[in-house]
Amino acid sequence: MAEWGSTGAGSSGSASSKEVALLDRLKRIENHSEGYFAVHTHLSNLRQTNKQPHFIQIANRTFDTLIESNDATLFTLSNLDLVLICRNIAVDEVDVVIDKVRGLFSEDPLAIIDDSGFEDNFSTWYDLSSSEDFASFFSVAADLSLEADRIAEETSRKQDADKAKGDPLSPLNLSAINKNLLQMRIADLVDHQTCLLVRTGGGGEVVFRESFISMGQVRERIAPDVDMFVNPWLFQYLTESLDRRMLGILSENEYDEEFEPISLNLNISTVLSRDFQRFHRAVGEQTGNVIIELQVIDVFADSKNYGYARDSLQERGYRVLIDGLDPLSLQYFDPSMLRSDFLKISWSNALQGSESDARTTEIREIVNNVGRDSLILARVDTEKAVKWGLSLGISRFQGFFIDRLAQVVGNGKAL
Amino acid sequence: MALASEAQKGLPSQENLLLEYIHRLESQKQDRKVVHLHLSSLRPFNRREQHIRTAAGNFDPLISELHGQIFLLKNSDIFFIFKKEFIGEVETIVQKIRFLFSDDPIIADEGPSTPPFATWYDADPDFDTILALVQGLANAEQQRQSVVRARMDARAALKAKQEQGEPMTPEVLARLETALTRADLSNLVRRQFICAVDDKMIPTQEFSELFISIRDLRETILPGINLTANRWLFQHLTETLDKRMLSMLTKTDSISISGEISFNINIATILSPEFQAFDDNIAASRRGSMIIELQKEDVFVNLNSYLFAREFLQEKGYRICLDGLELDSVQMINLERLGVDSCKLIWHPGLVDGGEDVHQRLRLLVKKAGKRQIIMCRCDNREAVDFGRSVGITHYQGRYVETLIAEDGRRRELLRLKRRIERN
Repeated sequence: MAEWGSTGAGSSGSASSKEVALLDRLKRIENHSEGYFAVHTHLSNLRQTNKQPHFIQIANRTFDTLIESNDATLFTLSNLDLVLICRNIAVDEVDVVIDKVRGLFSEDPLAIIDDSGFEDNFSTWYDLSSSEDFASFFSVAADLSLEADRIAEETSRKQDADKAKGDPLSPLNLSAINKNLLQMRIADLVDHQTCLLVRTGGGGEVVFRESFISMGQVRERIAPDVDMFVNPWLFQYLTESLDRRMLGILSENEYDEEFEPISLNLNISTVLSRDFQRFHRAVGEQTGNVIIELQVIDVFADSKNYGYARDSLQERGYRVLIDGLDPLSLQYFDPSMLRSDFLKISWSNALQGSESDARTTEIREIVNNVGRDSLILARVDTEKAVKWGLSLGISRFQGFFIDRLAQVVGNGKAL
Repeated sequence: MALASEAQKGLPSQENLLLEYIHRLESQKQDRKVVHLHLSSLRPFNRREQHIRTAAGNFDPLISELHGQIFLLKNSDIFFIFKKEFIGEVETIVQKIRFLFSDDPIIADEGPSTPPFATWYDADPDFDTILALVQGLANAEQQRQSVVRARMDARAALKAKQEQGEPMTPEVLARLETALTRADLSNLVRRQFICAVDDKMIPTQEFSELFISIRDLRETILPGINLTANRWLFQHLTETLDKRMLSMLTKTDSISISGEISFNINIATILSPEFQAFDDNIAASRRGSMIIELQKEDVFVNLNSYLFAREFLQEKGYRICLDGLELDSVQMINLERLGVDSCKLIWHPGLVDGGEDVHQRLRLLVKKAGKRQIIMCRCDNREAVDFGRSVGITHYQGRYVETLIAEDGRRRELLRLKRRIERN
């Protein structure tokens, strides 16, 4: 009975069972470790965006053939690290597989082979037949086991949170949500965020104020039990309805001489619709103070109409902003060819601390290429982000940090 | 941009005025020259209205003396037609304008591989070239206006509804996706060949694309519904179709997959268990003969997943083709960096109408792509292939290519017959 009990205790921390199995295995080979070696692949250090479960699963399967035809075991640990224990296999044979896994993550900084360093960041090898290596790997494995317990706790907390996210958005619930979205009270959910021109000598100037409706709040009001963000295409479908609501609200505004520049996010299809015509009549002579933000995904999906929408907006005096760019994507296409007036790039933590590396150099080139005055760094939540932007020549910023700054520098009014 | 107010009042566009002017010019072409300033190639921040006005203002003295005529086009390009004897003055002015934009890459990096900032023509020997160029610009502008109008026109929407059916709704999508999990779609799978076409219009089959005919799907399962009416709902539907396609490809008895084949698939599907199962079930040697087609929007909606999927696919031996490119996107996307093996450019008569400028750009692009093949798809007529060949494209797909294959088949059959008769 006591044994059953201990199994039960083990399964409550089942996330760490792999670590326990690894330690057991090490203990078993400790006294006859001839021919054994271990390769520890540090997938836990990948960027968050590369730690998706299906990525890790595919990485795992890369080892299949090696394991099937040799004396080798793969342990997938709770922190996503992979440990391969081998016996009497040619290093080259294992190397081929590790390189394949590295190749899968070739865009991740972790996979970069640093010629200057002694150790490879991606994987570490241990010759288990050497008592020194054995001891150091055993201690690594013990640490990983402790970490696994912590992760197990976190996971169970996160599972609760995931449950709170609710059912995924699907064609089945989409229609009801969409209907709600078109009918609900929404004007009180319109929020604003300031885009500020920051001068290096201090001070700032409002470029425009973005009007938006937070989808998070919409969700709380109409579908608290549905996860709206899980499916990009169906989410995009809902934004078309959101556009109509937004235009309805903004068409009520007075667009007189005093009017300060605003921006709003729309789908390309909305720009070419009657709802927009109505808004255009309300704006009247003030089109020069209205910036229309289009999502880059919409631009790619609707490239046929993008050019028409852009031209028709610019001809009437509006300015066009492309939103939703991340620095990674800028390396794969030339956004200056979109011929928009502004480009909005999202700040992410992955950018920080890479002042001198090749990626930053590349981003600096892109900034110069598209023109500093048309770039806006968004989602700026720390001063660090502003400094990073300024160092690249970017001077227009938006985000939580900027909202606070805008309040400080003059209640958000132009200085 | 400069002409917003005139366009609103329904006056003829500058493109049309320019075309009229060129027509009238024919009688006095001996003593006229034309310069075309490609301000449309400037970076957007250099192309704002005041910049174009400043640039154009330099010509004012010559215009007021009636020595030349200026046209400011919708795309910011400037045309200046002038009397030959003023070439010196005009060259100075163009030099001045170049100086205005000297920090712009089009000037800073000017070289043999970049499009020029200014193109000069003698109206006399070059008259036909000028006319074709201007005609192209006018056509493009007219077409642009009519498309914008069509989109905003309720009449056009009604017409689309009558011709293509009621737009799809989420409810219909949900019903359809449930029905699809059970339906046998093998009779809806179509095949179209991608061919190299030589100068005698003889096709050589390279590979074939397998796809589920959306029109037939609609007619057999949901008559009267326009499945493609909403882009986002349709995109969602394709994920379900992907899985059906994969299961058909695994069960080779349901459809024939002989030879090199390609098929369209979402990146989300590649990373799903269904694709992993498909990959396990096909012979390793088959992977090398399979080309995975990805849509550009799918690549850019989650670039991170694309990069991962690319490594996974190419390492296994699959090749990747980027599908659904138009002129704008093919110029904008860095194909080399994306690491695709080929891409598909959608044929459109606008490519021809775009004039020499567009042709030159495409030619450079095809040259730069090198081994990364650019396939022209949706070729409905001979014009597509003729045009493609003129810019260096070698591979084609579409209804016209299918007729070429059929003709070639008939010709070979006749040849065989003839030889048999000769032998007898």
